[in-house]
Formats: sequence, structure tokens, C-alpha cells
Amino acid sequence: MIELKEYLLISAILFIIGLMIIITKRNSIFILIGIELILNAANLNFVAFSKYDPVQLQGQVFSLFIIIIAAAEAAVGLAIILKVYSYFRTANVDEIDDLKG
Amino acid sequence: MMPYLLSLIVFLPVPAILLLLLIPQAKRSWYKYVTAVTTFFQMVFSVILYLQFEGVAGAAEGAVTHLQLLEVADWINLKLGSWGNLSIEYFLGVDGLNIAMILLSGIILFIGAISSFRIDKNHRAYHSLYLLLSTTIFGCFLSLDLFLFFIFFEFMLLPMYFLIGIWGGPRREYASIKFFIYTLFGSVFILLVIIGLYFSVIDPVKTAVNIGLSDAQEKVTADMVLEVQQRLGVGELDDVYLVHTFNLTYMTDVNNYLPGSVFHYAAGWTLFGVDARLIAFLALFIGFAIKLPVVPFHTWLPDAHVEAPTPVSVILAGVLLKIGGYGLMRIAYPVFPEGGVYFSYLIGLLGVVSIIYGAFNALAMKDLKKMIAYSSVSHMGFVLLGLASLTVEGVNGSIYQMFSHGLLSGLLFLIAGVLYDRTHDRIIENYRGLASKMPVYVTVTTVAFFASFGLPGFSGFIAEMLVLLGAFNATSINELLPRWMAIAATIGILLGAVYFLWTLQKMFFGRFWVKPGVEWEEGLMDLTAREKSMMLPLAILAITFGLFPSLLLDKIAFDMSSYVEAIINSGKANLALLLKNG
Amino acid sequence: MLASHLVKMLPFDTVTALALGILTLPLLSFFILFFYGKKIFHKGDWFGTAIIGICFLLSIAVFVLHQQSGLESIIARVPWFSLGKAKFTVSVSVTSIAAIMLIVVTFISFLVHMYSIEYMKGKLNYERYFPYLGLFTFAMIGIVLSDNILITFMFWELVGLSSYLLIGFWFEKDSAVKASKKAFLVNRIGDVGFLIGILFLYSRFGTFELNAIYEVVKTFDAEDKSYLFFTIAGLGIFMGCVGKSAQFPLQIWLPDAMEGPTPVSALIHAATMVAAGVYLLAKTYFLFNEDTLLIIAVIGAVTTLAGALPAMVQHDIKKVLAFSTISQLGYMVMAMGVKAYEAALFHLVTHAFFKACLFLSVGAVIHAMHHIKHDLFLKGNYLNFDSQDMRIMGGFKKIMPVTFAAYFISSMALVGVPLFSGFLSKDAILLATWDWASANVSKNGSITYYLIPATAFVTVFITAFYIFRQMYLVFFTDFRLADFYKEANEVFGRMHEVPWLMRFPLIVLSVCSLGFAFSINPFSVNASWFVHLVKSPIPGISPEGLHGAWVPVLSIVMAAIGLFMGYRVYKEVAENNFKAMRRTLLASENVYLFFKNNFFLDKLYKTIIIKPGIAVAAVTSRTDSKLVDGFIHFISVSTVVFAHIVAWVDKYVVDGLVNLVAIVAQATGKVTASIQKGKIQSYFIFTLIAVILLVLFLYGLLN
Repeated sequence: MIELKEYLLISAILFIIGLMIIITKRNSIFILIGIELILNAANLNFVAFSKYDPVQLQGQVFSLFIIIIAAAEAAVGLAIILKVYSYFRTANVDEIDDLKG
Repeated sequence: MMPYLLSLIVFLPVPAILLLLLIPQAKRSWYKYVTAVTTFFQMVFSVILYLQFEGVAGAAEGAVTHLQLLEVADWINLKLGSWGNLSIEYFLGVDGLNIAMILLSGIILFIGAISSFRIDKNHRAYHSLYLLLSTTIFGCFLSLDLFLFFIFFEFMLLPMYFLIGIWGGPRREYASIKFFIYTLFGSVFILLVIIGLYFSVIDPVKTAVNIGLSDAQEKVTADMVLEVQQRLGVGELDDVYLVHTFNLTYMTDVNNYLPGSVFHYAAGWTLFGVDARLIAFLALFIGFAIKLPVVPFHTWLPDAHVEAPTPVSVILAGVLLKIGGYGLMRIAYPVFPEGGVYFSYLIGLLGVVSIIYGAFNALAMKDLKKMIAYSSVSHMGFVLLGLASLTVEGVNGSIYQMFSHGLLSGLLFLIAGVLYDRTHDRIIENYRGLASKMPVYVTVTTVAFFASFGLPGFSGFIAEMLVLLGAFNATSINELLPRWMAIAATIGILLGAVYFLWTLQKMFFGRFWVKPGVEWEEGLMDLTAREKSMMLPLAILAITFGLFPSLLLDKIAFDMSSYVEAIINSGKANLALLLKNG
Repeated sequence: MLASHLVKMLPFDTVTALALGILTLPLLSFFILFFYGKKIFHKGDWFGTAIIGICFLLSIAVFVLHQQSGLESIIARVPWFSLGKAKFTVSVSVTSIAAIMLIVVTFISFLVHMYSIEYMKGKLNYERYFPYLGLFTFAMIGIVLSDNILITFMFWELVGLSSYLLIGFWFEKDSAVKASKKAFLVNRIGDVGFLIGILFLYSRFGTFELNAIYEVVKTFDAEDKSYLFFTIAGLGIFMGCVGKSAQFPLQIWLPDAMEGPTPVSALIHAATMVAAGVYLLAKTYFLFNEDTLLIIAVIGAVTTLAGALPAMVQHDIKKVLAFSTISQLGYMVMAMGVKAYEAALFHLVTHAFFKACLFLSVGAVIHAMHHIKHDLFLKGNYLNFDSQDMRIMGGFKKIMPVTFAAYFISSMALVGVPLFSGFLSKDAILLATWDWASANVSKNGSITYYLIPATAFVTVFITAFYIFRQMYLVFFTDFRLADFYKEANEVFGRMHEVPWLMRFPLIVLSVCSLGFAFSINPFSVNASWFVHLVKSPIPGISPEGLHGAWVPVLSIVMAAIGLFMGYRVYKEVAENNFKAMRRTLLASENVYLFFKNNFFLDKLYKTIIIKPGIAVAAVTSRTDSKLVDGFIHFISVSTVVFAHIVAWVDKYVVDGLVNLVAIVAQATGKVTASIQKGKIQSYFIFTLIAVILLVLFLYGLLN
């Protein structure tokens, strides 16, 4: 039987990896992927914790919502990235710094 | 009887100004005729007013003067809760104090309008301002509500400022600003007193309506007024019902003063240890003394006169100065009579100083117009001296002097203007023997000069004589002035002859000569018909009023007798109260 | 005690109405001639003369009617204007003396008008001359008739005006203009005193009506009148007289007034206007108390001498007479001072005739001199000599016998030779001064009172001297201009007596200068009709009560010595060289100059009055431009400076604070903005760090 601890561990690893991707990668597509990893890390936690709610399975339901929202978010995100790319001719987030104070 | 005659006189120029705005610039030669016709009708109406005015009106007990042809209307009424009620009235009327001034203004403004024919730039602006000035002058003389008076009084500065500042001589900016600031400085004092009076005085008639004694102002009887005054005196009236007023006729009655207010005689308000009422008198005095002008507040006058164009000089000397004297008589003395009694020595002294100081200055002047300006200072000193004496002769003399000086100084400035028109130079030393070139001009000048230094047979003599009689008699009648003041003032009469005759000798008689190197000689032609038409009436009036003083005195003497009596009585009574309290 | 209640309105009757007519006719003449003079026949001269002639006839009628009425005074009084209780009135009063004065004024004025037609013919501004004379006559009659002292004062100033206009008649001549100004101003000094006197009267009695005041004052005794009030009021009125009658120390204007045309000098500055001062004293005589009268007597005596002394040394033919007039006026005033009221007025009347006659005859000489100058000019000799200088005259007796006769008669009257009018009046004065002095000496014990009669007697001598000097220089010996220009003699020879228009007035006036004209017995003043007509309002020395036969004897002796001296000295001078004149006359050059220049009074006044006056004027004008205006400018400049300071404070302090806030905000913004790099990943890191810190914080909080 896999303990809760392991789930959490994997989830944490997954989160860290996603975070690291977000921080380190310059390409916005990768950052989007990083975000997906973080979301999945969260999903994993929800699923793992739903063990303690066997009747309603709120954790699993929540993770389902997240998956759907993540899909939508990925679609919107990719669309934005495409528009950004077509406007700036790059997907490198370092070069898109119009908000610099 | 013509209804609304006073308003008609005051506001006749307003439609004329509108008419000026409608006449296109291309027809600018018409402007002067509009002005001339308007002022002509103002003059005609003032003469009608003068004839309608009754010299001996029914005696009303305790009234300072007997006002006639009143025009009263509510103008601004505000309920201010615990501040009481504010009442400003449109209130015009004539009495012995201003009837002579109205007549004078009518004449001088018309003559000034004729003299304005020579104006050669910005015609529309000039004539609009001139007509505006005319309205403010009449308004000032006729209004009996302090608020209204002050509006006219201040508004007069605006046209004067521009008339000197735009159409004046080389130093016009300096002169106009000096004139403006000087007068405004005086107005500040007047304004302060007016505000203080507003807070101190109530309208007993309207208050009576407010507290329910009567349901309409017309139905308020003398008894009701007395009741209001009595209840006011003991402090029974609630602030909500009080109607504060600017009406001058209520200010002369001590019973209308709110107990404890600034100018209530028993309130004991002091400033530098002097009672507020005396301070208020002084403040009003300074305000009007600047206008009169009295030494040492006079230095705006020579500058303004020298720089002003001829018609403006004529009006300035002929009418505007009189507003100073009139203001003293109309406001300062009746409202604060104790001030007039208390400061009589000081005022008489200032009068004498003005007479002699002005005369000496005139003696030293090299500019003809400046000489005349200083002679005005000297002559206005007589107004002050006569007023300070508070005798029937003296006060009548003051008014007579204002009237007479209005005619004569107008004439004198026209004379200076004639020369300036021809040569653009007024320096006395640059001319000699003008009589050979311009005989009629010099004849008129001689008449004007002799009239001005008070030759018997001219109005100035009657005026100065009455003032001297009053000032001299004050010792035996009311002990306000010492005898030496009248005697010192006679030195002014002597000096007047000195500077006028000296000028006559240097400038007009002797062998003809003008400053070498100028081409004036051809330009020095004698008077034109237009110039004669301005000067001769003034000279004839000066003689007429010099020989028949009753023409004027019959109209004013009755009022002035009660005026003097009221001022002396209430002045002495109030002063006794003030001194008792202080 | 006021006198105003005594002022009643009185209607005009025949006499006063006639008097009013006499007053208004010359005024009418003035207006008509002034405005339409050029259009009337002969420029209106005959018209003006005729009007005055009518006035003269009316004056006689007034005199006769007044005498018939037997009343002391006939008064008409009408209201003028009123002020409350004070009523101002105008009144006409006909008294004996006023009626006589009317005749004198209109008569002499008429003769002078007539004389002027010829004398002024062809002169510049001829059409202005007659209106001015009319104006003068009007004003003078006004003084004579008015019983109201304020109205008198008005006419008083009006004669000053007409005198001004006539002295400065030749207004292109600078000296004439200056003289006219001087005359008016000096007169005005006196008038100021007069005015003050009037003020005193009004404040004391509440009216200007002399008759009403007299009704009150006549009840006063000497003690009542001894108050300072009466002294000051009296002296004030006397000052008017000092100015108008050219008394010391204001006599300086009269010699200068000779700049006017000679007929004017005769009428105004000899016969009538200058005598108005004496007439004024007569009118207000009841007001004077002992102190005032003493001062009047002293001033009169001083003037008598101060007029006579300069007359001895003048070269100008008219100035001699001017100084003589001053001296004679001094006699009259002195007589008033010693209470010889009748004698003073008598001398006024006789003097009016003989002095007018003197002036007119001298005018005839000047007229001739003008002709000589003119003729010489026509002959091509432009000679710039002074046609009034006696040094170049002489010998006129031969060519102008009538003029000489007139001159001789009137000069004898002036000297006071028996059979001539002056003898009567002057001796009355001399007697009165003597009586007055001896009475005072016996009362007070001080012999200084004798100085006044002594002055009077000495002056008789001087008068005789200077008038004979003049007579000699002008009428005797040869025409001295010929000594300088040979052609003059020939021209002089062709001169002849003046035309009838001028001759007639001379003859008439010289007849009036004879003693018979005034007294049946030309040796006795008591026999004169004049002294019976006038009556002093206060007890004085009337000629009837006088005694001392030696007085006329002494005066005749003095006059004779004077005449003889004048003859001796000037016979020698005129026959010898002219330059010797000074030395023969007076030992000292300085004394000579002292007299010649009228005691240097002009210079004195210039130093002590005019120059300080101008200095004061300069000081006041500088006070005005420097002190008063300086103060105003100081205020305005300090206002502007203060405004600048305020503006600086506004800019750097108030605005500085506001800017400081902005700067701080901006700096803060800059610092915080530097964090915002626009790099999305850095935001992540910040967020991360923040979350970690939050976690740590929460962790810490939990523990």
C-alpha cells in the first residue's frame, strides 16, 4: 500500500519541478508546461487526500475541475502566447518587458 | 411733478451706453452727440429737480434734514437666522445737502461732454466710460442707502481710472494708478465703518413688521417705531426678528442701535483707548478727506489733474472732489455727530492748513494746470473749515463753496485746456503777453482768475465770506473753533490773489513772447465758438450766484439750519454719554 | 448786545430810488460799452460821458432833496438772502456827506470822461477805456451809498478791480502790469484787515448794517468802547483804509499806480478812490475808541511826512503828485484820528477838486510832450526820452497859459494859500491837531502829542517846496529838451494850448479850487457851507470851537518859506547844470536816494515779505514732492518690496514644501519601480520568497 507520504513526496517533487521550469525557462510555452506540472502536483494532493473522504470524494471531484480548468487555461494561455508571439515576434518572456517600471 | 425723476437722472446714461454699442465704428462722430444729448437731458432734469425741490419743507421733529421726492424699493432681503435679517434698499432722495450738488453735476457733466468733442481716439470706449461716470456721480449724490452709495462711490473709480489712464498725458499711468490706489485706500476705511454700521443698526419699521406689531410696512406708525426702539433698548427683541439695514436715515437715530453693538454709544468698544464711534468718524473722515482732498492726503490731485484730459479734469475738479465734502456732510457728520464736535478743532486746523498750504504750493507751481489744481486744494480747505465750524453760516458756506468751486474750477481747467489744445504746453514761463494774441481768451481768463480768488460779485466771495463768518462766529456760538482760524484763513484769500495775479501778469499780460524755437505763434488763435459756449455759461453762472445767493441758499438754508442744529445737539449729547462711559 | 433786531426792511423813496439810479446807470454804461462799445458812435465815449453827466445831475437832485427832507439819513433796505435766523440785507443810505460825495464823484468822473475823450484819442484799446471808467464810477458810488458794510466791502474790492484794470490799461507794458498787480495785492493786504474787522462786527452785532450798529453803539460810553474788541475791529477797518488810502506802511502802490493813463490817476488815484479810505473811516467813525483813534492819528501823521519827503526829489512829473496825494491823504487820516471829522471830510472834498485839477493839468503837459515826441519822430528823430521826466520840461507857461493857470490855482490850493480852497480845509486840520495835542498834553502831561501838529506844520513847508519845484521845472524857464536836441525847440514852438475838451475840465476844476466855492468868507472855515452840513457821530473837535489865530499865520509863513525855497533852489538848478540838482538839494547822496526810492520800502518788503513768501512756497512745494509724495512713494515702494519678499517665500518656501512631497513620492516611486522589471519570472521569485516568508512567519506564529 502506498502511503500518503509518498503521494505527497511525489507531488512536492512535481511542484518543485514545475516551479523550477517556470523560473528557469525563458520560453513561454515551457512556462505554461511548468504551470501544468504545478497544477498536476496539486491534483495529486487532492486525489491523495480524498482517501479521507471516501463517501463524497470531494478531492477527486476537485481535481476533475482542475483538469478541466487547466485545459481551458492551457487553451487560453496558448492563444495568448500565440498573439504575443505574433506581436513581439518572440516567445521569450525576458524580451517582453513592457511593464518594466 | 415727474415720477421717478431721480432714477431717471441717474440711469439715463445706461440706455445711451447701449445705443453707443449699437452705432457702428464707421459712424464714430455720432458718439459725442449721444453723450452730449444724454448729459444735456440729465442737466435739464436736474434743473427741473432743482425747481421742484421745495426750500422750506414741513418741519419733521428730530430729522436731520427733510428729504423729498423719495424713491424707495427693497433691493436685497435675506433671512440669516440668528444673524437677523439683511435689508438693502434702493433708496434715493434729495434734501438741502445734495440738491446743489445735483444741479452742479448736471451743469458740469454737460460742459464736460461738450469739451469731450476734442477726444481723438477710442471714441466709443471714451464716451461709454464718460456716461458710466455720469451715472455713478448722480447715483452717489442721490443714494441714501449706504450700500448703494458705496457701490456708486467705488464704481466711479473705474471710469476715472481708464479716462485718465488711456486718454491722459505722458505720465498717465502713474497718475491714474496713484489716483486709484489713494482713493481705494480711503474707501477701505469707509467700507469698514459701513460694515460696522450694518451690524449695529436696525430698521425699526421692518422689525416692527417682523415682530408682528403691524402686517405691512406702510401701516407702521411712529408709536410702533418707538415701541420697537424701546424694546430694542432693553434687549427684549430676539435676534431672529431684527432687520439690519444700510439705510442712512435710521443711522442718525441713536435709538436704532443694537445694544452692545460696535457703534452703540454705550457699548464701550474702544480701539487704542478711543471710543469706536470716534474711531469710526475718523475713518470716514480719512476716507472722504482723501477725495476732498485735504492736506496731507492731497498729492494725487495735482498729478491726476495734470495728466487727465481737459474734460476729465473739469469733472474731477468740478464734481468728484465735492463727493468728498458731500460724503462728510451726508455720512460722517449725521451718523457720528459727536465725532464732528469732538474733532472740530482738528478738522478746522486741517482746513486752515489746506487753505494756506495749497495756496503756497500754487504759488510755486510752474505748470498752469498744477497751479489750478493746488488752488483747488486751497479752496476745498474752506469747505472743511466751514463744516468744522458747525454754524449755519459755515455749513451753508461749505456747500456754497463746493458749488462755486465746481463752476470756477471747471472754468479754470477749460482755460488751461484751451492753451494745451493749441500748443501742447502749459508751462507758465513759456508764455508772455497772450492778451495781444487772444484777447477774448484772456478776458475770460481774467474773469475766471478774479472770480477764483474771491472777488466780490462772484460766487466764490459769498462762499468764502460765509465760511469765514461761520468759522469766526463759532467761538461765540458753539465754542468749537478758535477765532484765529478764520483770521488765518484770510491769509489764504490774500495768497489766492497773489498767485492768480502773478500768473496773470507773467503769462497773459505784457509784451507778447513765447518760448523761442517753437512754432506756436500761428496756432495761438482766439476762442472758438464751441469753447465760448462752454466758458461763458460758467462765468455767467458764477456771477449770477455771486450776486443772488438766495437762488441757492433759499433752497438749502432751511435744511442746513436744522442739520446744524441736529448735529450740534445730538453731537454734544452723544459726546457727553461717551465721555461718561469712557 | 446784538443789533440784528434793529434791522428793518425799509422801502425805497424818491431820494433812495434816485440814488439807486445813480448807482446803476454807470453799471449799465459798463455793460453796454464793454460788449457793444465798438459798434456805438465814436466807440461809445460820448455815450459813457453822457451817462455820467446824467448821474451828476441826479446827484444834485439827490442832494437838494435830501437837504429839503431835513433828515439826517434816508435809508432804503431790502433783503438780499437769509440763512436761518441771519438776514443779509442790502441798503442804500443817503446822508449829507454821501450826497456831497455823490456830487464830487460823479462831477469829477464826468470831467475826467470828457477830458479822456481827447486825451485817449487814438490809443490802443480805446473802446475798453470807457467801460472801465464806468465800472469804477459804479463801484465808487456803491461805496458811497451802501450802508451795509459787507456790501461796502464788495464795492471796495470792485474799485480795486477797476483800479487794477485801469492801471494796467496798457497791458503790453510790463511795468504797467506789474504796477497794477502790486496795487491790487497791496490793497488786498489792507482788505484782509478790513475783512477781519467785518468779521468782528458781525460776530458782535449779528448784522452788517451800519445804521443798526450805530443805534446800539451810540448808547455806549467811553468805557464800553474801550474793550479790545472795539480796538481790533476798528483797527481792522482802518487797515482797509490804510490799503486803499495809501497810508504808511502800505503807501508803496500809489506811486507805481501812475503807470495808468493820467486821467485815471486824476480820478482814481487822486480824487476819489484813494479818498474812499477816509470816507470809510467817516462811515464807521462811531466804532473807534480812543486807542484806535490815536493809532489812526499817528499813522496819518507818519504818512503825511512819508508822502511829502519823497515828493521833494522825484523826477517823474506824476510821481510828485502821487506822493503829494499820499501826503494829503495822511492829513485827512490824521484829522480823523484827532477827531476833526468835519475837517477831514472837508479836506477830502477840496483835495478831490484841486488834486484832480493838478493831475489833469499835468496830463495836459504830458499830452503835449507826447505830441512833441510824435512830431520829432515824424521829422525822423526817434528819441527815446521819458515824456514824464520833469528834467527835460520847462517853459510850458508860454505855450499853455490856461493849463498853467489851472495848475497854479490848484497848487496854491494844495499849499493852503488864503483865498484858495485848501486853505480852509488844511487850516481846519492844523487847528484841530493843535487843539487835540494841547488837550492831550494837559490831560496826560506828555509833550509827545505835539509831534503830530509839528509834523503837520513841517509838511506844509515841504508841500510848498515840492509843488513850487514842480511848477518851476515844468512851467518856467526854457524847454530843456532843446538842450539835448536842437530840433525840439522848433517843435516846442509849434505846440499850443490843449483843445477845449481838455481845457473845459481844467477851468471848471480850478474854479472849484478857489476858496469862494466853499465859503463866503474865504478866510474862515466856519463860514463854509460844508462844515454845517456834516456832523460828527461822536463828540470831536468841530471847526466852530477852534481858536488860535496864530495857526493860519504860522501855516502861511511855512508855506511862504517853502515856496521861496523851492523857487530859490530850482531857479539855480534849472539855470545851471542839471546834475548839480542833487547836491544843491540835499547834502547827502544817501538821504537823497533814501527819499527818491520811497525809503526803500519796496526793497524792504521784497526782503522781508516777498522773498520769504516765495521761499515758503518753494519749501511747501518741496514738502509736497519730497515729503508727502516721498512718503507715498516710500509706502508704495515698500509695498512692492514686501510683495517681492512674499513672492519669494511663496516660490521657495510654500512651493518648496509641496515640491518636497512630490520629490519624496517620486524617489519612492523610482525605488519601487526598479523592482518591476517586467520579467515575469522575477515576479515568481518574489512571490515565492514572499510565500516562504509567509510560511515561516505563520510557522513562527504558531509556535
